[in-house]
Amino acid sequence: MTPKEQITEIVLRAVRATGESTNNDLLRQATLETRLYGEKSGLDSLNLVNLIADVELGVFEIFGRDVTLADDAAASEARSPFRRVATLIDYVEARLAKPQ
Amino acid sequence: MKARSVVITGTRKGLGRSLCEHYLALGCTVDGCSRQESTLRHENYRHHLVDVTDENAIVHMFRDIARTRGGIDVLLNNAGIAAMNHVLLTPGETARRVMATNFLGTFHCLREAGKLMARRGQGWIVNFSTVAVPLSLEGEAVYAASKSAVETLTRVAARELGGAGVMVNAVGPTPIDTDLIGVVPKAKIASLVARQAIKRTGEVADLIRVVDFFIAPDNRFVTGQIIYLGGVDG
Repeated sequence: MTPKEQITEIVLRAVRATGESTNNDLLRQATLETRLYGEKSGLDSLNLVNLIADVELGVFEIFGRDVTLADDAAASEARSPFRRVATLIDYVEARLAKPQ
Repeated sequence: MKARSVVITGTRKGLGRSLCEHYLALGCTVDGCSRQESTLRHENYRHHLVDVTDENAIVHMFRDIARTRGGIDVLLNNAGIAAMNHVLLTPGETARRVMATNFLGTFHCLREAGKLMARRGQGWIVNFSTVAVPLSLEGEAVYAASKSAVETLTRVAARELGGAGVMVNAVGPTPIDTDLIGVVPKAKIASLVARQAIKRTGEVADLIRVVDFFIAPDNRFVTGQIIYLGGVDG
């Protein structure tokens, strides 16, 4: 598995688990294009924060890295790295590429 | 019943140390931190050599605590430093240092503990302010400003985390006889005490009483509040 595939697995697992806990079918069957941010996602801000925390912990368990997925653009529906599953995966990959 | 997991910052001495001893005596597990080693030894105490201004180190510490303890119930954001000087004579570096420890340190710990608590649907966070904020104490412009920031953080975080069952409050002590006020002239302390409704310096037990109230396991409705000791009007 490449690091990108591992990140994809971490993110999709966290998104689908969030779908289970929030009874959200779109998230249960999440793909790379699934929206995470904005009205169409069905996630409120607290669920999104919990999802981000799950991804951070998943990254810590698999890569042993303490990344913090906080971002100034997080609250922007147009630019937020949390807007879709694919953008979140890219964001995690970019954060892991940065030296600690 | 599983012991509550308590995290306290700034535990090497003073209030932090007293809070550790109190919650250890109540059967809690306690994780403390400071920039230097602690002399506290207890089977349920772990000390982390961490500077609260170091974001990465704080992130690592909270993940480590969550893994070891299985979660965090309580965070007491006690770490802080004081600075007394006339506002016109205060070096910028002092202001940066005080803001970094008192505000940023509190923010880093609140954010990381808040994430872990929100995922579990419950948690209790107590931040530390001071009566210097409502009294607008002369000579404490930078210190009081940093604690004003802590109070605003407390109120906003309480609203953002209330839905997740995380209570965020703050306590504002009067002067308590600890290292933090050891360098403050006696006349200055006396004039401050004179402005309180109850005219004496505080004791650690006064502060613990408020913290115990905020972090009671059945407190599910008191959040975003600042309680000052000594009858100081907020």
